[in-house]
Amino acid sequence: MGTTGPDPMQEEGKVIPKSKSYALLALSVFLFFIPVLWADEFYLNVIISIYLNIILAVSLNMVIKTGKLSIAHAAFMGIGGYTSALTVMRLGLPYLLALPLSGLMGACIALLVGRLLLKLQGVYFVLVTFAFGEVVRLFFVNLVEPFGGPTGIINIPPPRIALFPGTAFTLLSKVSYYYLVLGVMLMALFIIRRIYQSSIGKAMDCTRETEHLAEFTGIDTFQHKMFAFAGGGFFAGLAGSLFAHYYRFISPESFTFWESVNLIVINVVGGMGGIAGPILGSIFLVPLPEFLRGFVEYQRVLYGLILILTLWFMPTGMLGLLNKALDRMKSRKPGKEGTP
Amino acid sequence: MTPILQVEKLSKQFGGLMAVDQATFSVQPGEILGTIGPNGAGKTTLLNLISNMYAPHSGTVRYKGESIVGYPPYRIAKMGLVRTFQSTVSYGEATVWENMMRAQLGYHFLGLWPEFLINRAVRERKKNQTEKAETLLRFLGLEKMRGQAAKALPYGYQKLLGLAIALAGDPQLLMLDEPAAGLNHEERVHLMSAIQKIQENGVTVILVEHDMKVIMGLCHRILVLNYGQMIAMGTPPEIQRNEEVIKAYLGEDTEIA
Amino acid sequence: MGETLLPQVIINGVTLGTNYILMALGFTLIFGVLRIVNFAHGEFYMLGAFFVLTAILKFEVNYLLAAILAVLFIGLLGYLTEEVIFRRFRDKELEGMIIALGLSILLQNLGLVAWGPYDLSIPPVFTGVLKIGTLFYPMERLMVVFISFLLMAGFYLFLKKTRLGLAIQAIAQDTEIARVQGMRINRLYPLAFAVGTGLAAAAGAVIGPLFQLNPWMGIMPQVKAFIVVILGGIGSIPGAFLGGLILGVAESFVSTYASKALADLLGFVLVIGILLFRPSGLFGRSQVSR
Repeated sequence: MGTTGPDPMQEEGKVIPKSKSYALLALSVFLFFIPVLWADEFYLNVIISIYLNIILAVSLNMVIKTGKLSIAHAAFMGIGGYTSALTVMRLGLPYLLALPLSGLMGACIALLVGRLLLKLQGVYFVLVTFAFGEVVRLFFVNLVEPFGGPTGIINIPPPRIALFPGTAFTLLSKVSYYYLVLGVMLMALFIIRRIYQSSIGKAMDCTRETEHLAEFTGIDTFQHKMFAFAGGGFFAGLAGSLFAHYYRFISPESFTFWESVNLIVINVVGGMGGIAGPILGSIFLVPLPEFLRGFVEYQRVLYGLILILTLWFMPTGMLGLLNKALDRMKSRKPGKEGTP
Repeated sequence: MTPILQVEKLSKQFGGLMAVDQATFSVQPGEILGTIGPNGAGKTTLLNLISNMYAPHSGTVRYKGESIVGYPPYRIAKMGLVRTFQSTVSYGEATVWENMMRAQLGYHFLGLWPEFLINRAVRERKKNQTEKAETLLRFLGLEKMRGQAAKALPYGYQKLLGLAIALAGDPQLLMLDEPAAGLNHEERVHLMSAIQKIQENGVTVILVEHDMKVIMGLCHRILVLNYGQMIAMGTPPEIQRNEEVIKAYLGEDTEIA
Repeated sequence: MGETLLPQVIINGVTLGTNYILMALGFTLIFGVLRIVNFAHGEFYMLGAFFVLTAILKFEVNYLLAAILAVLFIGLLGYLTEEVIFRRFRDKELEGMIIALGLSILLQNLGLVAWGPYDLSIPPVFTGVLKIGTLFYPMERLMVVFISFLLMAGFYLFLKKTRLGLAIQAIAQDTEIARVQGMRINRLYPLAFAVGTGLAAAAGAVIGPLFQLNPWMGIMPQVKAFIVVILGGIGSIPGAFLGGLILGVAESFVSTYASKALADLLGFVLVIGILLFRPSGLFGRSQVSR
């Protein structure tokens, strides 16, 4: 992002080396057992919240990876949320269709809008995404039909999953919802990780770092920016759908500029290299308000402070710190080379 | 022989100024064409127009017979017309090796879906790219610095890296924007021999330069610009004797002999 | 009905416009000179208003003195902010912007801690209504416009006539040349920031009494400032004047003859349009970072 100093996006996770997909698989399996170990509703709620944020933060990371800092991410979440609620409630669409449709809606609007917006550079792109986000929010606030205006949509039904004709079950319990969100999150992480590891991810890095060099060595930078932006819109839309049917209520207040800023903070604090950064950031920042319940005002003061201090002292985020610690551990072992 | 590049009445205006005015010339395959002119003559603008960094106001550019005006720069590069930059030459934060791998990325990119799904072709390709990177680094004498961050290299080597990156796509027409700027004598010699070898391998070169030693030593023909207009085109001896050219350079520190 | 309405709409628009201009001036100064997107600008406005409130209610200072002190104090705060927080990010636009966001969150919530979430108000300074024909004009608003004009004129003179003002203009034109001419960037940047925040505080002190005060009162003015600056051209003072007026009047019209919602939307649509098709705005320099 900056012109001098270490690029926070170069900082990739060293905890789990790229090649060890098995470790990740094991971790995923472990996650399946969490509701068994911790049936506590309160904790499940927090974890679901973390998972939702991970989907959002990691997909935003992908957009940032092409050098575009977007503050409209929450708007795409909103688009997905309203799409999901409306198609299920008004059109009677089964949830298994409404969910991907929400993602597609986010992606389509991102493609339409991105065509114009992505032409802008640096700060100007940020500003125009801010304006766009506000326009979307104003749409939701002012169109009472169909969005419900400032009060939004209430009584959104929980997902009714019918995998085979005749068998249908409703996700009423937190535990069942946990599995749904876990599934979508793992899918998102798997896809985005794959993108990052492929040449697409590398091309995104090239686009971000030195765009004209990338362009003049045969990389279609515009395509990559569009792809990332649309992908971001897709996953944000998915998250919006999950959000809507979990909290059973959405309003324009759920998808404001501050929500987008929150996602950026998660990326900055967690570190932006790879997908580990936003994951770390989500795990650290999302539960914070829950555990600082008694000091509501101070929470957000702390929040602002954390953001400033992170940029100040650890621009590579938590991921950077973790990597440094790991490097130090590795260098203590004689004869062991670190992975390149 | 059909020219590899044909530029006809190419013009570009910035504000009220004609940066490039009706430029018309052809480039023969395998030649080294130098482009010189006083500061501000429009040399870099000409390169920018040909590689379509921005669009000309009028005129055509034909590369291997095909009109490329309006083609996005990445497409032109993939067609074999590659240019270098005067300033940012590389991915500064990445290592020299990483730069060489990135330099090849665009040319072998299979497309979004294939890249996402297919694994096997990727492995084959990785092997080829590794070989090519190795070859190019050795060719330019950079192989010992492969692990260093590009921005940490001495200036002369950075420019050589820029050249290596440009060669990564096996270009047929290479446009170099002041590659010798800021180089010391030794580095200049190294650069000239590299360009010579590149040409011997069948690559056509357009060389924009201020450094007359490089121009006179390498070029088959020279194109001279002044205030955006072509004022002369000919062999080095012809250009050195050309009165228009001498006049244009009067007052500049550069000597043309 | 249309007869008496039109002039009223225009007057409302101009009033609104002058509010916007005051905010925009400080914002464009900071963005134009320091290239910082000061997301915390609205918070300096808020602090200006609260300073006046605290001075009047707690220390029984009179309004005028409180306003002047607010400007000085918040200006000093701005100076320190640039020195301490933004200096590091002088060449890094995006990081600077994110830090400004953090500062905004911090200040809003410090305000929340200090003054609570409930609306507070400053006792009105001017009362009465001016009546010309069928037009009503609250004295308060008239005075605000009047004072705003004074401030704007003062700022304009400052820029054109004082050494500091000219120096700031020079940096805005070209930082390299300014540096070469020996101008001390390390002093000028924080000073420019101080002037910008001082203006925001002045806006807060002057406009504050018209509305309710709360820690989030700076958000809307900030957004309007941002719209005006894009409209008028970043770094352009005349642009801020014209842009503010245009936005104010346009919003007034749309708000009266269409709906308030559309008026809100108008600003953002304008921003998107301008950024896409005429990024330098009405008066800005045609350099848009490429």
